[in-house]
Amino acid sequence: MFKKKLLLVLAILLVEIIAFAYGENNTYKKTIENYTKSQSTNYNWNPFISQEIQNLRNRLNYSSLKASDKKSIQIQIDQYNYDLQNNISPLGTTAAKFTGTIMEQSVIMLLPLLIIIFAGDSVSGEFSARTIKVLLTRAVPRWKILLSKFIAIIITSAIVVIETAFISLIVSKITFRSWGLMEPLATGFKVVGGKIDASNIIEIYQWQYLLLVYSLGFFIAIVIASISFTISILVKNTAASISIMMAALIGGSILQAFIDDWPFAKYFFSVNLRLPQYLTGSFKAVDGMNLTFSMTVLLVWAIVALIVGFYTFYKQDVLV
Amino acid sequence: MKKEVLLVDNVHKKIKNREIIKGISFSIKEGDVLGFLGPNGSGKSTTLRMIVGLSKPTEGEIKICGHSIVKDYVKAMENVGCIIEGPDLYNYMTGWDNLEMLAAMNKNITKDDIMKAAEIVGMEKHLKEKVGTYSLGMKQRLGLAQALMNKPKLLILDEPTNGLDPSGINEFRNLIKKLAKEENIAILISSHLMSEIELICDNVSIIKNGTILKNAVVEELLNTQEIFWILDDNKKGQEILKDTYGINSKINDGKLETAIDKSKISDINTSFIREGLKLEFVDNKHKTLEDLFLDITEE
Repeated sequence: MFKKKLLLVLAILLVEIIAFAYGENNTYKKTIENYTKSQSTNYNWNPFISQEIQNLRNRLNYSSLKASDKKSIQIQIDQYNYDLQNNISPLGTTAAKFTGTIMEQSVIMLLPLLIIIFAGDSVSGEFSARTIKVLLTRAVPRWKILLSKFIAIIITSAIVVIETAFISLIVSKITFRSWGLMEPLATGFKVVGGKIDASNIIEIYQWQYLLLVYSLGFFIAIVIASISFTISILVKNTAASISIMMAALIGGSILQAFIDDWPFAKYFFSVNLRLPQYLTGSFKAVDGMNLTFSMTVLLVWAIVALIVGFYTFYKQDVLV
Repeated sequence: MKKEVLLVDNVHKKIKNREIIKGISFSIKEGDVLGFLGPNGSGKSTTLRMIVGLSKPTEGEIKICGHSIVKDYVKAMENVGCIIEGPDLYNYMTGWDNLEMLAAMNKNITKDDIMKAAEIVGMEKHLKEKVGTYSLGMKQRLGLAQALMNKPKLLILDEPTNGLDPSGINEFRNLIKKLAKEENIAILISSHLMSEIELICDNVSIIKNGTILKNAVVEELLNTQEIFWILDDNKKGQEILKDTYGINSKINDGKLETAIDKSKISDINTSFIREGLKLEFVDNKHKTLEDLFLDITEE
């Protein structure tokens, strides 16, 4: 059962990552092709980035642009400028960069979904198969049984995150040839008064960045696992528990659109999943939202969820 | 003096403000088999669930080997093996994997213990097969093995013969008797099958609407004092009983029925014959547990 699910997750990851790698490679080639055609010179990223900065500047002049979008674009421009000055290539793709992007993109939807596959039926599955009775009639306190189930979910989450990194690295190495693990990268952006503050910026290697992003991915996996685990305890029904979590995730994406006008929305967990994007400064800036804020919100959700889950499980009468 | 293994003392259970169990009490001593009888929805299953800690009593106390199931859950459950409402095990795992996983959760269950439990229920040849491929009878046996492997002092079986064929039921009956007499295990069996309880159990508790209607020893319950005669003239027989012995009797369906001490039967028979009555038949009125159960629960 567990092995089957792990294989399923492996297959999903493989398909998605290969598709993503193909797409990324395609876009990259087309970009260079277009550039070469129109400029009748060989591709050189320096002027290309300058062009990109110009495009972004033009977009800033649209009157229909929202305040938060404006901020994001300004930040992106600042980052490109910084990249130019320090000779850091923002366009060329390497295995390391691709692997980082995969996790940056997965944290809002794909990774949580994969975690939900495991956490969503962890307890409710025992109820629907009625095996919960044999588990809870051992000479073992209930909290220990629940804790071991939770630890199993955490280990599984770690496996999923590592699996994602591993498959991405292999697939992208084959597609893009170079590893790029030692490539320098800028991080530590801060937003002060809506402007990017590069005073605290530090240069790290890609592999360090990968470690950072995948650690954040693991953190998100644990938070999602905790919430999904508790919902599975509360509803005792696998289909319902998975649906509720998916609704929450999709709802989070929708809420994101209203976040400017409805500040309360930023306390919802699925709005705070874009943690890796804080590292590169490529996020939609909203007042008061930063890495610390989002991590705190997620942590509080996870802890409250676990307390509710353990309390409910400990107190409830098993009537299946 | 036999030790008391299970004590249920004035237990109440309320679910959503509806009182499902209204203060029931009973106990089982080691080596005894108690049959727990009751119609559907009487609170049988709720009571069993409270005994094994799956749900908590709102009032009253349940003690297993002196340990409260609520306050001292682990110590109490170390003495218990149970099947509650069907043997629900992991279908995608083999019989052996199921037993081994559950055994790992208890202290001190060796591989030998698991194998022995499987042998007792006759499942040792099927342990390598997935539980999903088992018949209901085989699942029942594996469930029983699971309940036996920690060498419990109290065995709780909810509808244990569901899905067993007649020879399986017979084996099961012998097994239960053996476990009670040789291993001195206290056994609590709930069942709808009265004939089964009658054959296996020493004592019965009959429960209805959350109250215990009767706690009794099976033998005493069945051993009624009711006698009936079939005479050529029942009316005259009735008069003789009234005049000579001062016993009230009634005539029912061509039978002269009364309740007397058995030692008087031969004396009465002699009187009947002396008075010129023809004695066609005399017998104990046999009562089955089923009759009794219906009598008691329909009152």
